[in-house]
Amino acid sequence: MMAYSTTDTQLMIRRTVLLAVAVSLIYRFIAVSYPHQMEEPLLTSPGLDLFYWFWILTGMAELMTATVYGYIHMAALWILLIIAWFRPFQGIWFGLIALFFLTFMVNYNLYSGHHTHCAWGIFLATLALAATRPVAFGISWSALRLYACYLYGSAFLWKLFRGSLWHSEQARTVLEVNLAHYMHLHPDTLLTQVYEFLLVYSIVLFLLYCLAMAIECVFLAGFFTRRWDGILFFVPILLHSGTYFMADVMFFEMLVLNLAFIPARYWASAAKKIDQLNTLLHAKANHTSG
Amino acid sequence: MELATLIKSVWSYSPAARVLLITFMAVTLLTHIAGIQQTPFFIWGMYSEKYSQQNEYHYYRVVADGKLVNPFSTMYHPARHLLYRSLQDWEKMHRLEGGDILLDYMENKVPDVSWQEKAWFMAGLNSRDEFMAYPEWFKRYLGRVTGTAPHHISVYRVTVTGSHGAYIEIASVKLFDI
Repeated sequence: MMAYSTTDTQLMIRRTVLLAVAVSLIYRFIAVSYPHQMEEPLLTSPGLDLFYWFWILTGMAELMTATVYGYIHMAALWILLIIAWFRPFQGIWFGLIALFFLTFMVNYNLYSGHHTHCAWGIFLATLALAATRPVAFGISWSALRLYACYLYGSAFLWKLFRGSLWHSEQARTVLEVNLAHYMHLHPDTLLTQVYEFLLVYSIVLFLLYCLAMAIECVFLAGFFTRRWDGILFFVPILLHSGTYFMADVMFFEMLVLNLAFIPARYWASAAKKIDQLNTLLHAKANHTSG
Repeated sequence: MELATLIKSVWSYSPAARVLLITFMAVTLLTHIAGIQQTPFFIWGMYSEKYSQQNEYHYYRVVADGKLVNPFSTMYHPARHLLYRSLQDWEKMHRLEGGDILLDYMENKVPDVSWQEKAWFMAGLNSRDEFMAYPEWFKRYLGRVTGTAPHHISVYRVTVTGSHGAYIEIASVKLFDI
């Protein structure tokens, strides 16, 4: 745990997470999903989630989407990112980023009819960085790693206990429910031909589904050992690529949690290489100006 | 044993850390038992419910100024989700003649409670005015996403049937035009 707490390692981790947050925010801006871009949506779906009820009943939902506050909220989020980049060892900025990002996504989910989970990795990673003291950071970063194991492991256990793990029609039906629209609209594309192949030879689809379940199950090992962290770093990339193509779900933002599986020595080595590069660039700049 | 090590470290760190840990574990356990997520104690059970084999599939077709809107090539997932998933909710409200879906759910789930008399509950629901104004919002947001404000849109619920990726359309019901 303490291996993550050296200054150089912490700095690398903090700035990498900030870059991930920036990528997510840029993507969501391009995807026209900032509060002010949503054109004052009307229908909310809080479900039975008390946080969403709080968001509606306090008037925050309307404040965010129907007033200038929406602009202020997102501008503040970007400003916090910049401050945190230059003040990476002040945990308050990361705590505020986590809060602002959480409320941004709750607001989006509230109006979109479904409480999507794809961006929660960003929230959790920034929240983990609110701890800055060496011992606290070591605990927090390890807790994030275990949360990722719980996330994927519990996804597997839910499927096990609800019986969908053994359900032979699951993969096929999920694909068709989510992608019948695409296939009907694009009957002649290569992707539709791939889907048709998988639906005809559904044993292949079922095996891919079993692979996805195996990937989720493997995370349970992360509760007991770090020996498999190399595998646990890579397999979510496979999993989310698979669900993107097979179920039309976009979960790439969750890959920020993969950072928690990188051993401390790799962060330290990357920090050293960046230092060396900086030294070289400074030396060249001095030489050129001299 | 990573989990045990973490728990020991948290336990010995501070009383506040112990409270956080116990709260997280207790709330997570309770919400999992109830099956009701409470942000930020997330439940990761998506696609765990059994999907029964279906013969028919549904989607929404949007035609703007006479041209079919292809959501797969004109918008990213967040925008597509905001448009089409909210449309699904609107359609459910349409079947309830403008009534709120959650109100209908609670009246069926807990019929002994007079939900319509609870002002705090009704304040959080969608009103009939919002239901009626939704098509205008849909058109406005669609224009924002595609970059071209349409003069007229028609939205249909399309039903297709088929297998092995080959589908034929068997029904198309107009939901609204505006």
